[in-house]
Amino acid sequence: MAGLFNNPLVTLAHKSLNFRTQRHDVLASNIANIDTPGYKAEDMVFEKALGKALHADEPGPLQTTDARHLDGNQTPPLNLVEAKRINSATPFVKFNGNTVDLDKEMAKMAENQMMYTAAIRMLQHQFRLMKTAVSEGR
Amino acid sequence: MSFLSALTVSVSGMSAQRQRVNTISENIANAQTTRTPQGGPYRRREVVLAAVSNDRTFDEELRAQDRSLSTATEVKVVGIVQDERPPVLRYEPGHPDANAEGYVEMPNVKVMEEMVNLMTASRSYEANAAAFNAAKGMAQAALDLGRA
Repeated sequence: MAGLFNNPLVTLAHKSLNFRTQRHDVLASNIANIDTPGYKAEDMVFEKALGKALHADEPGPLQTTDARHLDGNQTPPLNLVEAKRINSATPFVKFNGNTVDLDKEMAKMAENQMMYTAAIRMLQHQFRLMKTAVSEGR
Repeated sequence: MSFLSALTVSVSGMSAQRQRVNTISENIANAQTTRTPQGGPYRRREVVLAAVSNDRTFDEELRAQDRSLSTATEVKVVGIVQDERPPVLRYEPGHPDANAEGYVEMPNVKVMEEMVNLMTASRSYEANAAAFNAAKGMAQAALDLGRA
């Protein structure tokens, strides 16, 4: 149900902003601990889950003939999607057991920041549309 | 809240690296020091870094178990240790601290090693500063949302 205020795109952008903020926390922790012996680099994944959640209200693979039937669609709705915290894979481990790769972390951080800006832009756009609607196009 | 934790994490990284730089400078400055208050030549020092989750109260710890809240990991200098490698003996009979055979105990500081550590420390510092600026930029963008 896409209404003016429960627009799935706004929810998506909101979720995405939250996850990007958390991911930045994790990436900043990796960078701060670049010289800490034994520290294992971490990352967060959520993009696939978010993408899938957009199709959560589509009919699943099973046919239903009654409203109470389950259609086998197991994707959680957008507001229930969670980010997963994982150990990032590294091809090499430093002699002190630390797995932070600075170049990789900086690249991830730049990407994360750009995607954050993208979500902000999307929100701004949605808000502008709402404004146009409530001011009757004036 | 989350943004502020990203900022404190980056700050912890910056201050840890700064402390590393301080210790390295101390080592380089004392690379030729043969007398110390403890007696004997200067001994090389090194900082020990450890990853710590921010000091949390019970309540915060409980809430952090909620997986939707990310837990940021700060870095902390947990100690400064002495390098236990033996002092370097140098033959210099005219030196006032020379022993009976004419050898002087010089600090176990290798300037080359210190320079390499200095470079990595200052690069790490820059990386943390970049992370700080990124978090600041993101927070600023979010603040500007209301202005659209």
